Amino acid sequence: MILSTESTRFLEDLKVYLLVSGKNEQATNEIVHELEDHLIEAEADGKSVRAITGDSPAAYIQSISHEMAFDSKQAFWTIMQVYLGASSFLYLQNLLNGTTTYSILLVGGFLLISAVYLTTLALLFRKDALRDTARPRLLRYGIHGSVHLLLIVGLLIVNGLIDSPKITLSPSVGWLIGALLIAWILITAWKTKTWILPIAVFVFFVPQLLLLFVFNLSEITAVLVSYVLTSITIAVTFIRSSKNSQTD
Amino acid sequence: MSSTQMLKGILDGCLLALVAEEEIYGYELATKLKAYGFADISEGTIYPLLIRMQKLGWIEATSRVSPSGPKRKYYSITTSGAEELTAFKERWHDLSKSVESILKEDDD
Repeated sequence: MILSTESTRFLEDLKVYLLVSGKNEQATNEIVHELEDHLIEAEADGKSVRAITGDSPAAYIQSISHEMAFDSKQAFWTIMQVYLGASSFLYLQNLLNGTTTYSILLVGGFLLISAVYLTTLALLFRKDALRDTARPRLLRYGIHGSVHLLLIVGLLIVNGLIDSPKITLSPSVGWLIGALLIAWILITAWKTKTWILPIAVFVFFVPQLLLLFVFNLSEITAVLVSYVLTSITIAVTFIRSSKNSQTD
Repeated sequence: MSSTQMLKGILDGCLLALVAEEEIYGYELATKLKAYGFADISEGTIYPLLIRMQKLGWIEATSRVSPSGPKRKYYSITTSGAEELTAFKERWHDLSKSVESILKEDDD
């Protein structure tokens, strides 16, 4: 039986709120599945989602969250993976282009902006999950992403204007860090059981290497082809995973 | 004070008593509660309590295929849950006796 739009949205909001609040993924899936099962029977008996949650679905979601423990281990590995997602592409691309000099300002600024970005994004997701209306989410996330993109651009401009201490890595150290980064990506993927990041890194860099060194294409062509391939791979992975979660 | 507020403190004990009767899943539990006259509380109220009782080790859940098809979580009472239920019954007995006697005095 297919659930009503209201019930489906309630379950989605519950899942997002719990996961962003750092609750264990398996425990989250279990309670969402249990409530889905309950809602299917309730709707078949002519009841609405309010009969289950009471007058405030938001308060109900918070009451569930309150009883579930914060999974610090899972939160740590997830944050590590997201952090790596942002930094690995930049670092490995720089490495391929032969750039191994980094200013303290650039590295520190990037880490700080990423931390602010992730924290505010998590808060935005949490707040959104508790809103009780149909909402134009895309605009808010677009503004949020754009503000942080501007901060990164601002950081690059400031970095060009201000002379801060620099670290220059020798090529061998640069490649060693690159290898460690890839190993770390694989470890976090294994820990979180989410393979999207290593797949994206593979699809972004392996064709690029082949196009550059085997087919002798220009750097810009290699990057563009890899970018398109990565976007398609990520889109296909997300569609497949959302289809799988619907059939579970 | 609404009956919902009065109920909050004793709902744990009522759920434990129902789980002690037989292995039971969420919707069935909510329906039983309603059948016993707890019509005011929203059905979902039981889930945060079930999570807490599992954490306390009073009940345990096993997931298995239901007769209607999908996998379901069935709850059963543990030894410590049974001890808690006995303690709850004693507390409830004392409390209801005290309340009864006060209300009786008021009626006289």
